[in-house]
Amino acid sequence: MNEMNPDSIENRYLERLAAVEFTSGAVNRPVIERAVENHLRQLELSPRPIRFAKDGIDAQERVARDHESAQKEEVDAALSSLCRGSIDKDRDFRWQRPRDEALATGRARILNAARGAVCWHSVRWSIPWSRYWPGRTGDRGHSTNPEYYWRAGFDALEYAVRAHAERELRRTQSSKIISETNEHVWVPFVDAFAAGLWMFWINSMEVIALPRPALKLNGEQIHSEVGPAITWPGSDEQHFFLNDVHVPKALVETPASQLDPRGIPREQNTGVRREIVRKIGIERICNELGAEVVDKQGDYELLLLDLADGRRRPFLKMKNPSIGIYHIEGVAPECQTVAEALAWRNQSDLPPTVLT
Amino acid sequence: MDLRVNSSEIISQCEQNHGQGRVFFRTDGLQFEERRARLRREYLDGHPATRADRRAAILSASATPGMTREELSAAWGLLEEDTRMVFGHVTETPIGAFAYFTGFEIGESYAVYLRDDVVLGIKATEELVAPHKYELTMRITEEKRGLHHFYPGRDDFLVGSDIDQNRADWDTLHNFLYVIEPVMPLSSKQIEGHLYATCLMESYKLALSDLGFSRSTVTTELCAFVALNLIPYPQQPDLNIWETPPPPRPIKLPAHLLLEDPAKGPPKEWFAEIAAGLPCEAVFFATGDATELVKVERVKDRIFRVTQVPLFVNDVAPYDLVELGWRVGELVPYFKRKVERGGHRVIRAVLKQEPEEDLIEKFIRDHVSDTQSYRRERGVLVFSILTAELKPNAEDWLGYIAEAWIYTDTRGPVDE
Repeated sequence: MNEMNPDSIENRYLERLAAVEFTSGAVNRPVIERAVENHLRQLELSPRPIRFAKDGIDAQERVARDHESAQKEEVDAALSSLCRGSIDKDRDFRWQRPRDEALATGRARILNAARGAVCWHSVRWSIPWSRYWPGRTGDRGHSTNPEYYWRAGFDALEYAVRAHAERELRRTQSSKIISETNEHVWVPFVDAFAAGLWMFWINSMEVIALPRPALKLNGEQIHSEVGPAITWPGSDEQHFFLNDVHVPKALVETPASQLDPRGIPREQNTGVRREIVRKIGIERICNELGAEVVDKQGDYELLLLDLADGRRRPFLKMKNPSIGIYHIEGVAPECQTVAEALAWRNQSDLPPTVLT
Repeated sequence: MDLRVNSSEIISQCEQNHGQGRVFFRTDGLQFEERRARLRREYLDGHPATRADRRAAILSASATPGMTREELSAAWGLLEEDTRMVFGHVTETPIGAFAYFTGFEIGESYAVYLRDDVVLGIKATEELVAPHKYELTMRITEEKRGLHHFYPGRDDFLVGSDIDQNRADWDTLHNFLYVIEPVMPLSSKQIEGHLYATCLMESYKLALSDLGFSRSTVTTELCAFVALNLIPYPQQPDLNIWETPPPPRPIKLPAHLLLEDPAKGPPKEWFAEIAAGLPCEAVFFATGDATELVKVERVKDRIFRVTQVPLFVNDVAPYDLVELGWRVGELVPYFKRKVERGGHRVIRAVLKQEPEEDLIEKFIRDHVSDTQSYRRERGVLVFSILTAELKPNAEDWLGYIAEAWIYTDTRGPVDE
């Protein structure tokens, strides 16, 4: 590494983060291994084998199996003694601003969206059939919270961006030595991130490394209309996204002509509902649900839709000004005008009636 | 933690769309029973715009993936009693709730896979999601104490709350506008009390007898499981008490409660006599030709646990597991061999002619491990201790009240 010349390509961290490729799922294992081994050495932890998980499920299974031997706290303690002055830095804009800039360059938002899909969610066990209420099912004496396992891990991008933050701090700080020392702790993770490392977990016996998945992107959005948007080479794990919205597999794989518009009001996630509307098309939805326009105001329309349950219910059709597409949203049955529907939607004093 | 039950696996199972394009008929003979036909009619009357193909499926008592949960319930005519033993695992994700439920016994045994309230798949399977071991306790607590959400508490017990602690708003939580209380598991006596109160005792006895048990031989776990099959969930709809009750459904036991081989168990006649009130006792051999009846309880097959400290029998202690045998023409079993030690050691003391009652009571209070299992009959005091030997202090006390005493001795090896 060229420590003396901050302008050499090795030290232009932002450029290197920006050049990272997200779509192939390629991994350079020796580089990652070198970075992690170096990190262990700096933390004065004994060397241990690095196991590469083949996908998110594999990584979580490995971590869950050995979660009692996770060394998160030990590593955090070693890091805070190694990186002197790092606690104050969290509140210092001279450190925080370049960090945020590097996170954006490393496309942390995309990776966080992917993480939301890959990360296991809590499971409520042994729920009686009569006590199942989608979105409201209560605990029945036994549930798991596997997000804990993700929190025990370390994010390669989070480490990589600290190198840039320390560099920028060094430019403005008098105690340059401290920042230089700190910078050297994090620099190997710029290489590791570029080599495909996403997350890693340090256990007492081994390090579990999870490579970044192959992402299908449309600009800065995770998006694939044909097949999964998140995969790992050689793995069956798949996650489906449309315009950055995590959606069920069926929505991507079912042709638009076979999607039933009557399922829309039953959809509880507004993002997913918007993507269904986008895929089916607002015209077909209005036709098939026998839409009757009862009021209109600018881009808003109050529709009565037939949901096949013997009643016609009001829905607000509106255009999303930022992405320019229409979507529909159920409103309280007592709404008779667009103004009332908007007032209800904006949490007026009308009761939140169950709509579907 | 069972790693097979994780959100990824549940979602993956749901997205496999089991049985897509197939129809699954209810075939247990109850599908067109009046109550179920009425349920179907009421559903279709309330949903006049149901698609024609779904309407036809519902009328023919068949379900298919793509239906809503309500449509499936109408199609199979699912009453509360049909789903009482249906349990599943649920995961709530940003793209909806995914769940699968097993135990739909409607001719064949089915699992149903759901995303929110849409049926994604149906699969014929014998797999069963077991109820929580305190499910019956939770069910009765819901009804009697108004607690609906249950969380692990201390010592493997539960705490119950009237609100969902994971979804409650800040004000509710921080102003303590909720109830949270410990929920203790019910004993078999409490369960039976509830069965009496709900007029289900006869069905309970019948179910136990069908399974080869009686009230005196049943364990609390089995008692709870059988009661779980019988006690309806609170808020059951349209229960018409004047209607003829349906025939009891056969109870399917989970593997760990099943007898491995009925032939290895006691003879049928013994079960009948026990159900009729015969004490659960076995003949043990004392010194010489003498015999003694000692109380036991059945564990499995012909293995029984000794529940009483023997008066004159050597080498047997309470909590020991023993194998019993039956002689031709005799109903009361006899001791065959020791299978496992329970850890107690028995001491037999011949009391002095005119013992001082206060001293004996004090001795029992201070030095007998299990005050339930000591016996004092015919001038003899027998009791058990959990330590290898009596403490010197206890020996001194025993010297005051007894002419002589011995270990009987229950520390020897078990019989092969």
